Amino acid sequence: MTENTPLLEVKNLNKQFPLRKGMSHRKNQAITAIDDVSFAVYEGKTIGLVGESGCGKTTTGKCILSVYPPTSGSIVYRGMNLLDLDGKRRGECRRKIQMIFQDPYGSLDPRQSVYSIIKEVYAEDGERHRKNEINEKVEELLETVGLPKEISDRYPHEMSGGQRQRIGIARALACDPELIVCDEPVSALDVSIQAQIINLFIDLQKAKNLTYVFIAHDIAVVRHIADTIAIMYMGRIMETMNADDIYVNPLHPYTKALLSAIPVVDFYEEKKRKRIAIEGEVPSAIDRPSGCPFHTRCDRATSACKESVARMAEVGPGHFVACHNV
Amino acid sequence: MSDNPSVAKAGNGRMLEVKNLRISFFTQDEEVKAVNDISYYVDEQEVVAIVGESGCGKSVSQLATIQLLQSPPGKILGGEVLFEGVNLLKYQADSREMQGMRGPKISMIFQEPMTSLNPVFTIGRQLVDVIRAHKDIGEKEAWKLGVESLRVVKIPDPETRMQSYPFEISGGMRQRVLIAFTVACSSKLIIADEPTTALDVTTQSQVMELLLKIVDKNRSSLIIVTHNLGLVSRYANRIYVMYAGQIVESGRSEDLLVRPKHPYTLGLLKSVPTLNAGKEEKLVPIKGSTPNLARLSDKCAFMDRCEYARDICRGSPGPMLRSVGTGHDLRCYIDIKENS
Amino acid sequence: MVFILSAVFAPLITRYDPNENDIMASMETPSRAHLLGTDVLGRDVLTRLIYGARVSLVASILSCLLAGAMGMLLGFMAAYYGGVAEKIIMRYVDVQLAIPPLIFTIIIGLLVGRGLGGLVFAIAFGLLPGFIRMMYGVVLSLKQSDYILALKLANIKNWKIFYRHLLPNSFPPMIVMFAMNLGAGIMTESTLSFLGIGIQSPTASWGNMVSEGYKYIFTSSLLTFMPGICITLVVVAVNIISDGLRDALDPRLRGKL
Repeated sequence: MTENTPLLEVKNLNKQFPLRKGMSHRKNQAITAIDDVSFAVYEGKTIGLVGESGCGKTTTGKCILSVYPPTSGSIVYRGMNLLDLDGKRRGECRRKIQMIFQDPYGSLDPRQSVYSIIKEVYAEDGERHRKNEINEKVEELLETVGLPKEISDRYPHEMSGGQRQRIGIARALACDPELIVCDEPVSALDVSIQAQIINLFIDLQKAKNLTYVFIAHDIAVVRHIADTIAIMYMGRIMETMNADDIYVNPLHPYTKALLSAIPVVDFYEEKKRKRIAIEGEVPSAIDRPSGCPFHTRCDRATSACKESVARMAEVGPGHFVACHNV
Repeated sequence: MSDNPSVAKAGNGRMLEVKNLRISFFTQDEEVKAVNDISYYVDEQEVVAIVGESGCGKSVSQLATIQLLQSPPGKILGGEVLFEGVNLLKYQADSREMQGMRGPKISMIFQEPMTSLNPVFTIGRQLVDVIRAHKDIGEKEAWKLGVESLRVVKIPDPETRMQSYPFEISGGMRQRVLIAFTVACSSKLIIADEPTTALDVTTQSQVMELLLKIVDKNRSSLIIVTHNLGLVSRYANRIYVMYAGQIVESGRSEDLLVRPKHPYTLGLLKSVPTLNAGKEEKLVPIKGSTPNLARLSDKCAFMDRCEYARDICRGSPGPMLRSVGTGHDLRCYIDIKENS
Repeated sequence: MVFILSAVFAPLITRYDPNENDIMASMETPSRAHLLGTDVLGRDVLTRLIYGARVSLVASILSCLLAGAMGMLLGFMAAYYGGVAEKIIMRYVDVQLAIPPLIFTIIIGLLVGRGLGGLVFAIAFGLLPGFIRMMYGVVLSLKQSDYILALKLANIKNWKIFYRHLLPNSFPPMIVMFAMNLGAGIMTESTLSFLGIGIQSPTASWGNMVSEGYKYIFTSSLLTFMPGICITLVVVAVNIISDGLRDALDPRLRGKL
């Protein structure tokens, strides 16, 4: 794999979920969760997928993990299309891509001790391990995620949300992954704990050259950890850019509205900001607007926007926007 | 016996004044000191924020002021809640006086719009019921008032919406319906408990703007209970920071956000990811975790997590609130020179 | 709490010890020489009660175990694999539930023949849909859990997931189900034996004791009531025990007993 090949490349991903309308179908209705999503992420880097509810970011993450097969499109990992792989090869690849979950309370089996949770996952790598080797590994992983080794006898209900999330991370690391899909990993945590976990993610990335697909609804969080940010709305990517640019040079009307809606803690900065009011609500997934999905709420919408989606166009280094009016 | 120096100049001018409120939860083994002697006030037409993380007592204290606390296991152990000079705590929770308070005088918007509305009644029914509980008007008039309230909160097609059930509308709209309840009653004080947590970012912004608009129009006051510092920065005039059941710092927004004096406030500001930071600015988390409210010592509750803790902190009982500026109170022995 | 439960259970247990290998003497007249009197044929009621307990309990426990095992397996298959298996199994459940349960059990009982084996089979069959549905629901919801997904991502095979995770996590609701059905099982056994299907005289079972005794309900009410009371007590005791068992197995409560 050369320097310039991305570790993961998602191409024209589409995912629809069929709706069954009971006995009388007038037509086969389906919810389009993801519509023509493409992005690439390089080894050791992080891409942030940001958007509000219903934008398809979690579905994208799950497609990458092969939780469900996409309706069309491809997911290319190290040059191989994951969807084309047969069972054996897919099994070899599977442990390389792991997931961290949003809900620290549902992500651990309540009947398993911490030791057991990590050991089970570690020991499944197809090789035989001796007992003391396993013990060492468990201790090592606990230390890597900042937990004391005494915690291995405890059960999930005895630990806080932040600790549970760390166990989830340790479990993912036990598979020795290269790519981790992080699905809103800090949303359910207290503010002061969020920072601890975010820093942990960053440190781990540097130490182990991990690649992240970081899904979140909070742009501020993503900004700290991502190299590239993709803004999603109703299943499409509206804008992709370097994380550093997002506050400074957002171009897509949705991105601007999104940023404007998020207050900044810096008191003086906040007072200086111009606010963009955005009307209406996210349309229902069953009744997708034609053309660009954002046109119903966009203050710059023209008739072209109603008719067709704009292609992603490069407007600067690493900066792509899908909008007719930019 | 108020230990909040800024309250000392209180007169009858304050709309709401809470003094020395103490609330504990009694389980079979232990007493959880949820609220440990807090005092705060809200003036007319002010927006006050009560900030803290989960477990600090902020929501519990608000519920107690309008006597919605679950009474076993919670118990108000002491203090006064003076609304327009009258101590609400002397009334029983379900007395006529309290019922007269909730609605026309004080109303509360809760965090979860999903569960705040009764799923088996239409919105119209609920709205009319609330209106008629507080105003002596007929069904038809109440209905009209309900429609108007929905219109004010910018719900499209209000007449039709009156017939909808809560599950038929989105979370953002439901939150707006709750605000409509407030509008219909023209409350003088609105308490919003984490009003935006369950909502999307753009909806959050809409809901907040709406709330502010109503507060402005009705000349009411607003208490926002939240852990979202951004919200506070944008909307609040004054802030109370709570930690482990106590107020640790309070004052004008500008003072607290730009020149915080309590290590916890400072810690929060440094640990919250913020949009306009440069990528090199690392988040500085607060080490450790929140204390167990059933096992508080009489020393400073933040001491174990504090970077500035010194011998005086370890050797003395927990600090009292002292004034460090106009309207700026601090519960700490240390003077932090550093500015954020 | 578990100790209290044992204490409650113990007196009942001791009654079940077949401590008397007594003759079932043929004495016509009911008299108080025997603790609970005798029945029409002179057999000691207490002895029959004790023997009957063994029969009734064995019948209901066995049938619950059978129904439980089959139910759990089928329920799991329907929920985990979905597809055709799910459709077949769940449709079958719906069909069976549409038939009034008692009639169904009676029919099966008649088909299978008399005696303990037939009885157990018949009762088990009747209880099956309940177990299947319960397990189906439990597995369906567990299946969605994040930790199950995490295990799949780590390449852990399905059967291991079932054995190590789904099964243990489905025990609590299934134990409760088991206890509820134990009571139902006893009732069904009683009913069947009462009706003449199932356990036949001279073997004692609570059901046929009630049946024989009710003819004399005005003269020697004890004959009917004693087995009836036993049934009630056992059902209550089982429910209490299953609650205790479920709590004891809950890792959340470990160390708090």
